[in-house]
Amino acid sequence: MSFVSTTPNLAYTVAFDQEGQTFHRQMAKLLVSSLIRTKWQGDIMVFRNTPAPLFLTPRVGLTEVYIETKPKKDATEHVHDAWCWKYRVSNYIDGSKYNKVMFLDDDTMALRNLDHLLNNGADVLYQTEALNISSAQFSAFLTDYEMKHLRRRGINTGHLAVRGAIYQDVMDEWQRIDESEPPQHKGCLDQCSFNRLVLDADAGKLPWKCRHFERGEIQFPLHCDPSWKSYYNSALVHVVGAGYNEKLQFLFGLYMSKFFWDPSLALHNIIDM
Amino acid sequence: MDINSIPAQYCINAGCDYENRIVSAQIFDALGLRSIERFPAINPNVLKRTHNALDKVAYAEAVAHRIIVGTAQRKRHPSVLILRDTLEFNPGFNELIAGINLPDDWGMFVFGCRHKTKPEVVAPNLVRCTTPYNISGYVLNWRSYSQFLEGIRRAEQHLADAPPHKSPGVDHIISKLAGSMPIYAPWPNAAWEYCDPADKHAAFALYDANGMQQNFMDAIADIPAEIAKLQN
Repeated sequence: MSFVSTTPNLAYTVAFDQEGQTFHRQMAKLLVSSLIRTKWQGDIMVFRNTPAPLFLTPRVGLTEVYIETKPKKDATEHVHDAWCWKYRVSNYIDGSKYNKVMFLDDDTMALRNLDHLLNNGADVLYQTEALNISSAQFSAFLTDYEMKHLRRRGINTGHLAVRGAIYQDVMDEWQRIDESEPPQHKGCLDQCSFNRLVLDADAGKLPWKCRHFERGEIQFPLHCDPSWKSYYNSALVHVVGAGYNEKLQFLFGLYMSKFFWDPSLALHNIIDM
Repeated sequence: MDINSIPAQYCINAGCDYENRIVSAQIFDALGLRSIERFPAINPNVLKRTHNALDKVAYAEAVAHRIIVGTAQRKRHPSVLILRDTLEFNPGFNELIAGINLPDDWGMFVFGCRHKTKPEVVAPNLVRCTTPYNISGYVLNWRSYSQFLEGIRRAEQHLADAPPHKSPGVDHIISKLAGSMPIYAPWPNAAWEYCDPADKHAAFALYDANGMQQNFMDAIADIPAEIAKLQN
């Protein structure tokens, strides 16, 4: 690894809205804008299930892919299906072109450049939450013994990165685990199956070196990192722990304050003449 | 001295220091230093334990150095190089470093520093430090790993007891080690802490444009004469 990577990375997100809603595409647009404004080095892909493009004028390095999805019977089924597209879209991605391929939930936002998080020798990079892995949102694929004895933090799959050359293999394995029968329960499966994947890799059952993202660089302001000073200076925020309206409102405020603030409040004075 | 032969080379850089990262990468590239890896600076806010250290930033800095040197020791690297990401380099850096022959007893080689007390001239381009401060970066010899790590361990305890507003950090640790560890530095400095001319504190700049220290001048006053004597 050199001091800064010269091979481009890929960031992608999945913005699947329920019929008649636009929350996900709005958040995805904020995410992409934040990546561009923080000088993301590489390509960006957005997979959306709404036909209209996020941006009416093209952005260099941004590809939008429209995927037609069937309407689901309720919000829960829609969300569960959308989660699976984190690995399903791997069919649209040629990972070999990239140093790392990074998945970002659409309710994340870059506050600083992210390239340094990916410039290391890890095969898989992940971010944990403050809760133990035996919590329901991580544990569907744990064994009974692991449920009782394992002490490590659960991984949030709202942001993960995989070395480009093995991206397809990792996604295939993730899908294989995700589609197998969970021993514990059936909630938050994509996240639980990814936790299983990392556990297996750490145990040497899979040939991949997994590593935590640089500590403190990814934060959950509406969840376990509520300190403004702390999350405002992080590289990426992920707003788990709120409804869509609240998330969008929070991200919008953060985006404006991060990228449009100046001491004379010029934008405010233009709007509120 | 051949920098490229050093098997482990790191520049400590915080995630938030994007500009330092990019500028350092350009400088390393221009100098042909292509083996330097980024070591993420430890964020003081994510350390679980700081042993009640009052200066968490200094503590976190010491932890980063401890991890790098400890890893080099475990991997049995013959030496390890650590740089800051805020450095200015002597235009003749490569020639200056290539011309240095370290004595057999060397424990540490610093690329540049401020001498608080008079160093000993050992060659026209090399001095042995007695109280080096504001160290830009260094190469540590394997023989000195244990002593360095012990110095950090002691300093961490000291940091935990330090009065508020004191920030000894790694500089202080290395300076203390100079009493028992042979620490050498090039003359003139090969690298030094960058000082922004637009900075309102520039009046207190530690170095001039050529990397010559701007305070503790008594400590270095006799060095040019001693070098001249050596050359004759």
